[in-house]
Amino acid sequence: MRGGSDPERKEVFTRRAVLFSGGVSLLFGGVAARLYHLQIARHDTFEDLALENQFNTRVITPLRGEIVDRFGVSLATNRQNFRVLLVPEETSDPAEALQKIANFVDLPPARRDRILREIRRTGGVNPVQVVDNLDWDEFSKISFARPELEGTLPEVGETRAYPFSSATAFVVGYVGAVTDRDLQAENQEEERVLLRQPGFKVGRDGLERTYERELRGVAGAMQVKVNAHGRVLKEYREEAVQPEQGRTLALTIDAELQMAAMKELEGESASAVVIDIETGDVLVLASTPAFDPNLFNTGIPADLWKEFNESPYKPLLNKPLGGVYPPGSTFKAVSAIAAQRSGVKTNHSVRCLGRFWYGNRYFHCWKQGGHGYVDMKASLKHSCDTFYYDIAQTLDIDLLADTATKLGLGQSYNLGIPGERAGVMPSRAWKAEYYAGDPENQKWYPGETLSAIIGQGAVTSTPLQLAVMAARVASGREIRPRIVRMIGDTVTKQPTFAQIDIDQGYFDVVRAGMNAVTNEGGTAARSRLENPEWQLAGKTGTSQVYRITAEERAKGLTKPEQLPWERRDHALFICFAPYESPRYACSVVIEHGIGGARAAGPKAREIMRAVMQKDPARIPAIGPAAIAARGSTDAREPGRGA
Amino acid sequence: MAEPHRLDASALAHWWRTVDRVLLATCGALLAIGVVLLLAAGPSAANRLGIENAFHFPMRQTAFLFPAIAIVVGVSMVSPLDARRIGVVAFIGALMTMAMLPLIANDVNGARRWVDLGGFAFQPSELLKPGFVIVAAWMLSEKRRNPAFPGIAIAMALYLVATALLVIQPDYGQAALLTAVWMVMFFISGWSILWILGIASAAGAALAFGFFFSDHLAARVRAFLDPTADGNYQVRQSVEAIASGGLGGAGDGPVIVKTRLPDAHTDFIFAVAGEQYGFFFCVLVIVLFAAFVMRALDKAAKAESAFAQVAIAGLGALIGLQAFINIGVSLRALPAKGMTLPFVSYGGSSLLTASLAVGLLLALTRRTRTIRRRREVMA
Repeated sequence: MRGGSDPERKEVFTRRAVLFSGGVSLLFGGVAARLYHLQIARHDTFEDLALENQFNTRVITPLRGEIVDRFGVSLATNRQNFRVLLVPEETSDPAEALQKIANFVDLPPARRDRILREIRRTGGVNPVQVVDNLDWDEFSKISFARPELEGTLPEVGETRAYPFSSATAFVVGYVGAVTDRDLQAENQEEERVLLRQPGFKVGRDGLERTYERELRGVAGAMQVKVNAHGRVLKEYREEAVQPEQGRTLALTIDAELQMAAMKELEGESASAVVIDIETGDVLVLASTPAFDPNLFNTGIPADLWKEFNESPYKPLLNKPLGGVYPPGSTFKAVSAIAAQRSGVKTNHSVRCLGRFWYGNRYFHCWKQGGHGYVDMKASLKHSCDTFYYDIAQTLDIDLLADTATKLGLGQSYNLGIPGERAGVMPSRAWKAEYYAGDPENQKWYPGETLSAIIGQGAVTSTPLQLAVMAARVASGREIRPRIVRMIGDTVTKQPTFAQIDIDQGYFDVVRAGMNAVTNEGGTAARSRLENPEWQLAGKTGTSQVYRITAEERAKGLTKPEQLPWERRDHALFICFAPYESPRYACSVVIEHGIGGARAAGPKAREIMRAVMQKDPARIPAIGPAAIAARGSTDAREPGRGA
Repeated sequence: MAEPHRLDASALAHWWRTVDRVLLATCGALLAIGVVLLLAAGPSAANRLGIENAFHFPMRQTAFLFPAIAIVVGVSMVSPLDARRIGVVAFIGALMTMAMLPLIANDVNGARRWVDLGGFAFQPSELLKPGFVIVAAWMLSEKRRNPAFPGIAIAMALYLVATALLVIQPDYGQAALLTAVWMVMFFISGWSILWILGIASAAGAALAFGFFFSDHLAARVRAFLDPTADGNYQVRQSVEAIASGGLGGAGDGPVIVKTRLPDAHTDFIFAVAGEQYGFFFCVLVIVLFAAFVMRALDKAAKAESAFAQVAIAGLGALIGLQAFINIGVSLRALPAKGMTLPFVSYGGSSLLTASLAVGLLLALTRRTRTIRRRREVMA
């Protein structure tokens, strides 16, 4: 290669190397220029340099979206919260600073320790919330004393408020402090930054939890100039990126009717559900006793929490969705339709003698002495068990299960509220699966059908399912309930409900039977609504919790009132109205209320009276435009820095 | 030859006399800066990753310095011919490992780049780069010597294979770097500008193709164009950290990089320099890299063989351009790319292959033969 071209090559190489060196100089020079621009030119003034000031980005927390009822009444909103923060970087000793703050506000040592732990955990980078929900008096005192309190920052934040308190607790849920698990579950760094803001709350239960993303909103940001000690010198408010309030959640609930139902159920451990049959809108979802969600927001006292957990009335259980009860005689609506599907005619007649011999024992009708001859309509009107024992001999359990499923039992509707349960509708397949580890027990015995057909045995249902069942019986359509009407200004789609895949003629006798229950002197004659336009058709149910033994009976224990509360029967009632053109369906379950006719029926009647009086379906619900307008007027600038 | 004590001197002493001490010193200074920066950024990164030892990263990096120095010294002792052999072996080894990556790699953030070597995650694409420079330089110089030899075609084919393997990982950053280095080598070895324009437009077309058909690349480019996009979070924090450093660095310590920049110890180590030590220190880092490249080009111009010339220039360009891209990203002057700052960033793969590149560079720039030949000429 030592040819004549070698010097020439070297010359070319050198020339190009020089050119490339120039290129490299340009590249690195450019980088240095950019560096100069960032570090020197953007470092505004000489003063900033002298004071070693820095620019920090401060997160502006967004307002949480509101939750409103179908007419725009606030169920969850935000209100001003006077609170005190501590900026660990501005204190020489956080423990001492807390000690000083304790002279002005109630700050027990346990709470102080918790704050100190939080400071250690977060490395003292973020301000921490010391106390909140101060009244104006306390707040102004501490604001006045601020110059002596190093690192103390009194400010006006926002906190969640639930105007209807316990009445909507189980629908709306509540918010609570951010936990480490929340932080770990969050994979976007910017959301984590927001979660770390002092006093930031996230949905813990109910719709607040399910729709956390939609309700949370989008954080804004503002540049602040801070000195070497972290003290804020200047806020660049004009250039701030404004936060976006979370989206409004508009529900199907009617707050007024919800309150009426809660009042009706007061003193009981009970639930009530009202559904608009045409739209599937859940108008009422009441559960008693209930807790005040505002307590959870501000930190619930430990003894109260203990009391809630230990109470036999289960004030933390969302009974309409999470309570499961044997449907009892309300299930006869399903049984009567299943019987027709198996070929039994409506004029099938059975002589009830009060008890029915099957296998090796008697199955009792609720009425001692019996009903005499009953046909299908009468079996519903009088709730005759014997009629159904007779049918159960030939009815296939799987046909009964299929009918129950088509009428809405044994499934969950994913309303969006955590804790919804599916209940059980037994069938051969269910039993085989339930006893998967126990082959002896997997077979379905005909005797079990006798229990199932009157809504006892393994059959369980939630009050929501019972209301759906009433709605489906009334309409013959596959009603699906919903509770969220709109997210922001987007209306959630609700399909037109298809006809149930069962001969529509089979429903007539059930509707007529239910009408007879209330209006023709049936088991719930006293639950009749007098106004002929509001004609209510219902079905009672009493589900056994405890079987009185022969021994107890011999000792004279014959009346359920003699039993302790937790052994008394559950009282149930389902109904729909108006009978001629059904629009509303309702279910009421009173735990240990003894009798459906006596305890549940009248309460259902009063709730339905309120519903019929108002007829909420006729009043236009809040629309997307109204929601949008509401959002913009409510988007206040969150107060930061008092 | 005239001085016997020189002949008797140990291999290390001989190496010390002949090695280019400017390149060596530059690279040593950068290594030291890396450890210093890791002392600042390491503890919070360790805390974030749940590592108990706060000084896990600087300690591990220091431990890596020993094999790194061994590689630099060891490789720089070999003859140019052996240097070429090492480069070829590295290239083939890296290429084969990368071809098998879809089968054996660990999936990190949706990209398959890493091979687990018993607790040490190795990135074969790092090794590929110096290997490619050596092989390409060899092909280009053979073409010079023997015009009938299809050197350019072979080098071009190898470039396309290597780039394709990088793109499927996907690692567009390394692909872009390799393309840039290849263009520099082609340019500097004296081939027509038209060729270069050809490669440049092909690369441009590939980039456009990637933008439209790869979510990964498109997301990164969009993130660069739109500073509020989510993917750009680290870059924004980096810029803010650097800006807050000012002339002499932040008095309170590197708050932003500690709390808000997850990759401060690796890809965004420059932000640590910016926030903690300020403008002058950053300029020092840039000057060190620029000096490294300039010195390499100076040595290349003086080198005897065509192979050595192109290889030296290529290795210098490799280190320099990678540093330029990394710093450019930290300053938000370039789209975000996963690339380390040579010698400085934490990471075994990056450090060891940078050492290999420097070792090769030093081997090719050693004065041994030049001095001897001059003496022969003079004699």
